Amino acid sequence: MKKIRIEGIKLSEELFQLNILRHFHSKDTLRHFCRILASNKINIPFLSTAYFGEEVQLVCCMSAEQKAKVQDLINAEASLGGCVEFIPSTGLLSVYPHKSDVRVLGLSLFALGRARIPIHGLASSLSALTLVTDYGRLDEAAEVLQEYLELPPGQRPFRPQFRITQSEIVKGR
Amino acid sequence: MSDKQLILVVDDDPDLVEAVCMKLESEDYRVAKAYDGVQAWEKIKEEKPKLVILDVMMPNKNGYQVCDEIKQSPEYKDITVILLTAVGEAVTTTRYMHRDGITTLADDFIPKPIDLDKLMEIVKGYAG
Repeated sequence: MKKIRIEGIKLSEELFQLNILRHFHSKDTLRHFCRILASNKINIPFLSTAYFGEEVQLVCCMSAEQKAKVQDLINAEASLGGCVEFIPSTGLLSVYPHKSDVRVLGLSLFALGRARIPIHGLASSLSALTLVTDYGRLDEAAEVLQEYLELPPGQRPFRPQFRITQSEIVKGR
Repeated sequence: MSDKQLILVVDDDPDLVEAVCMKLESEDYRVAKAYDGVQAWEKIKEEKPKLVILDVMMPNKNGYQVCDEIKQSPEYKDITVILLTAVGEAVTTTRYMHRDGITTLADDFIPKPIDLDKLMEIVKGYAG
């Protein structure tokens, strides 16, 4: 089988995943939740929402270093009680560009499934297909994908060499 | 051979590359894409673009290094380089001293998050 040519596979740092499922006033609750994260300067490298009638499910991933802080914020938010699930030590694997080729999605799911590598979430953006899996198996996941997806010569899956964080900048003092 | 100007867009954020390329194509430019500094330099040698839109913070080879190589090359020094920088508020010049102690001279810069209309103004100013 001929491999599909892609340009890159990007792997993330260690994250944790947070799933929220709500039934009533869920859109307001989720908006409120995102505002809490933003006001605490917590970056969200992965965010996906799904709507099922009146139900809304939110899946997001944040830096593993911020898990305790996020847990404290969740515990302080009564409206989220009982509908939050944490998955520790997850990572993102992004394949790009997908060029809207559904085979990239199908073969990625097939390859990871055959290797029994879990998929905790997935999303497609303008150019990238991003899968959430166990952080400890990211390199293995990238390897099995390359049985079907071909990187340019000399290219390897890579991790960002820096992290962008939010900080307080005081001007004009 | 098309007479449309070729613009190379380089960023390790594939969605940003795609969005900028869609905008450029809608303005009748040809586009090439690269996702890190090494790929960028290969594309420059292969396709010799008129202009490069170049992110600064990238894996393998950063934007400053690529810009240095372009501007120090007799063959490619006339290629226009527009840097994309996330530290735009602190930047008042296109001449940067980076950590390797090398000064880089780009032709222009635009801060992130990118205003696509502003970017197109800059591109048209250099590439017509």
